[in-house]
Formats: sequence, structure tokens, C-alpha cells
Amino acid sequence: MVSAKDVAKAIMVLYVIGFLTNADGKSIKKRAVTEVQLMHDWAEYLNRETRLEWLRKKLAEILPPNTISHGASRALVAPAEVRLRKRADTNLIANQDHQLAPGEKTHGKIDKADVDILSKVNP
Amino acid sequence: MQTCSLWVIVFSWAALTVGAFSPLCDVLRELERDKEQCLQEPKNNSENGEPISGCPRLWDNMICWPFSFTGQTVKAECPKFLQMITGKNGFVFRNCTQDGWSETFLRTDTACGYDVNDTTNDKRHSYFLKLKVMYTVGYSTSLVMLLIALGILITFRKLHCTRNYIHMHLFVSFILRALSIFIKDAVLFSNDVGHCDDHLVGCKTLMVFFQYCILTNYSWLLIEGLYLHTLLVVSFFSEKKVLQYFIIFGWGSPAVFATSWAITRHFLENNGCWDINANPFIWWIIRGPVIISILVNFILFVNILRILMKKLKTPEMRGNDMNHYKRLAKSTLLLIPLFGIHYIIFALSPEDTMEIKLFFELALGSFQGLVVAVLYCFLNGEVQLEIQRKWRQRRLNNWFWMRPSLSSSFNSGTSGLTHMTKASPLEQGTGTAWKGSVI
Repeated sequence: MVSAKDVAKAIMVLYVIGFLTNADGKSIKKRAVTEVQLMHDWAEYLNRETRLEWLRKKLAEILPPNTISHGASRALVAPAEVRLRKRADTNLIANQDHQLAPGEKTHGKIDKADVDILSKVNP
Repeated sequence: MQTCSLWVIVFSWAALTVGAFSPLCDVLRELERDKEQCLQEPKNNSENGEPISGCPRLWDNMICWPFSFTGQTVKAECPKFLQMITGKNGFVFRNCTQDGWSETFLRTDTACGYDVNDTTNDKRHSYFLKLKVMYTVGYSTSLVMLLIALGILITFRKLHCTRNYIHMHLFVSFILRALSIFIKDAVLFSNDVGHCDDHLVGCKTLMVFFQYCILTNYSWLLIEGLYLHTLLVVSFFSEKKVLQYFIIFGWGSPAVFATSWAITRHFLENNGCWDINANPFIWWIIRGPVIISILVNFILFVNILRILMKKLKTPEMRGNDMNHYKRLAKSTLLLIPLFGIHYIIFALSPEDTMEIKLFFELALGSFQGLVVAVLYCFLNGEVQLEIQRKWRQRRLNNWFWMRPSLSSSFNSGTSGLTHMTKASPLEQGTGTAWKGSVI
């Protein structure tokens, strides 16, 4: 006669085995410590977003405006900036020496922020 | 307790002064290196001092174009910093014409796999924000209730016993968990410009503290299970000694795992603020103990329910079957938040329901502290009795103070009143004697 205790034990053993075999690293990877998982996902997402945002601004600055085909990017480029960039481009070609192209300094906030961060990287 | 509050103060201070890690550091560093390299290389556009026709070396803010002769087509690899962001590689070309360099064919961004229209992430942003709002509400209500509950358990000396000491430690671990999550959110997801390496010591320390708090919460949930199980299974044991072991285990073992995680991270995966766990093996140092504690607690839970069922079915227990099942269901519901059994329910959910799972688990997890505080402090019969007693005493005292002339004649009445206080409804409903004392 099988007692309820034995049945309960068997269920437990099966459950644990099922859990462990099912959880071969990959599947269990996302199944523990929800807060840490969320932090991981969110930080990854934010990192990606910050990088893409920076890249979008950087590209809008660097690339010649007439080749920017996407509406979103075009909207970001103000006429004054375009003039600046043109000057920067001609300066770049003219100044092939070691000195920094003067146009680069006029790139505005983003470059300044970059320099700020960089000065922290290389004190 | 004092050391705990000291820790909290230190880490709150750290949170206010510490900034987040900037995800742009490596990209900017790479860009700067490329630029410097390009501008510092010796120029080759003249031979023996005589200029020759061709295009001079050009740094176009992304790629370094080497000196080349007129008519040449130069092929350049995508800049490293772009590869780091897009994860794709490609080539860009420029012609060296008589008028100098031509435009690149294939724009550098398209050639390197960058797509402006990639907006799949907008949905995720609102999803994360929703989650954050939800668990912030959960953790803040839990935090307030837990602080009140902890205050009650500490002030009433009559409530001091091993079971309540363990509850107090569990409450502290819940409080720490909530606090560490708030601090972490404030540091990681603030809108300031991030820092690079030299500012990260504080940020990393906070991350270790966060992991430690999460681990202590799981360890104290496990201890609740262990304690109740020992009470039911072992007949005689020294409560004082067991409590000591539990305290060492509850606060010590998470410290061991958090420290070893920090050391491993430092030597093997020292990137950013240690917030992204790219290496699953290092993450196991945190995940492993948590999963084990959830599993062990589940086994203890099932065993406790089994013992409870047995006790309820003994002939001494009067009542019909329906009554038994009611009691069983009630104690099961009481034990689920105390042991954190809901974690295992979601542990078996399939992978593709990840988003829903995160949502539910965070909702339940953040309110768990609140539920535990309500069930094991505010609804507890002894606590209610003690509060009622204190309240009546106070009112009587006030009354006597207001009318000092009557104080002598009513002196004997006070003790009578306190004895008349009735047991709380919960206590009456529970019925079984052992449950009142155990849970």
C-alpha cells in the first residue's frame, strides 16, 4: 500500500529533478532575483539608448547635411549649425597639420560634454 | 541593529555623492585614440621635401584617411567606436581626385550598420517605467509599514522572544532591501552626465551593498522556514543558541557571497558600475544561493504543511474535515509570504513570459514586506493585546492625571481592566494552540 507520505516524497523528488534539469543555466538565467535581472535589463537598455543618442547627435554633426536622408536627423540640424559645419569642413581640409581644426571648437555643447568626460578619462 | 543603521547612513551618503557610470567612456576613449593616432603620424605627402600630387591624410572626425595619390580609391574599415555601438562591421570608400578627397561612397553610418529608424526601444522604455512606478509604490508602502512594525516589536518588551527576534531581523532585511533599491535607482537611473573609471569606487560599493541586501532578505526568509521547521520537528533545543547561529548565518553568509562576487567582478569582469551582469558564471555567485534558498524553503514549506495536516487529523483535534481544510488553507496562506513561496511559483514559468513574470514578481515581491508586517505584527493577537493594554493604561493614567483627587479611589480598578481585555479575533479564529505560539 502506498501511503500519502511516499506519494508526497515522490512528487517532491520529481519536482526538484524537473526543476534542475529544466534549468540548465540558460533557462534559469532569467529566473532568479528579479530586481537584479531588471537592473541588468534596464542598465543594458539605458546604455544602448545613451550610446545611440550620442551617435545620432555626433553623426548629425559630422556628416555633411546634404547626405542626411532621414527626416528625423534633418530636423535636428538648424541652419546656423549647417553654416558652422561647412566652415568646419573646409577648415578640416585646409588644416591638415597637427593643430586642432578651429571649426571643431564651434561644435557646441556635445563636444564640450565629450571633452568633459574625456578629461575625466585622461586626467 | 546599530551597525545596520550606520551602514544605511554611510550608503545613503555615498548615494548622494556618487555618480553613475557613463556608458560613453569606452566609445569616447576609442574615438580620441584614433584621432590622436591620425594626427600624430608623420606626414608622407612629400618626398625629399618636394610635394607630390595627391590627397593629404585626412581625419574626417570618424575615420583616418591615409595619404594617397590622385586617382586612387581608398577603402577604410568602419571606425572602432561605431563598431562598438552598432556591433557591425563594414567598409567605407573615398576617391582621391584632383580636387582632393571625394565624399565617402556609402555614408559612413549606413555602411557601418547604423539605422536611425530603429525605434523598437520606445516600448521598452515605458515598460521599464511602469515597472519602476509599481515597485516604488510597493517598496515605499512596505518600508513605512515595516518601520512601524519593527518599532512596535522593539518597544514592547513583552513581545521579545526568539520568534519575534527572527521576525525583527526579517523586517530589517526587508527594510534594507527596499532602501538599497531606492538608493540604486537614484544612482543608476539619474539623468546626470555619468563619470568614467576614477569615480566608480562608490558606485561599485553601492552595487555590492545592493546585492548584499537582496541576499540577506532571502537568507532571512530561509531562516524563518528553518526555525518553524525546527520547532515542529526537533523537540528540545536551545533557543538562545539557535538564534545566535541564525544571526551569524543570516547576516554572515550573504556577506561571504557578496564579497566573493565583488572580488570576482573586480578581477574578471571589471566594467562599468558592475550593474550589467554579462558573464553568467559570475552572476551565479549571487543567483546560486538565492535559488538554493528558494528551493530549500519550498521543501521546508511542503514538509511543514505535511506535519500540520497530520496534526490536524489526529483524534484529539475535534471538528469535521471541512474545518481541517480551512485551517490548512489559512496557515498555507499565512506561510507563503513569510517563506517567499511565490518565488517558486514563477520559477517554473516558461521563458517567453519573461515580461509578465517580471511584472508579477516585482508586484508581489515589493508588497511582500507590507504583507509580512501586517500578518506577523499588526494582525498578531499578542501584539494587538499588548497595544490595547498599553493604550488603556495610558488612557487611565491620563484620566488620573486630570483628576488627581480620584486617583486613590480607583487604584484597584486598573488591574481589573487589563485582565478584562479580550483576545483578538484572529487568536480566537486560529483555535489550535500550537499555531498561536509558532507563527
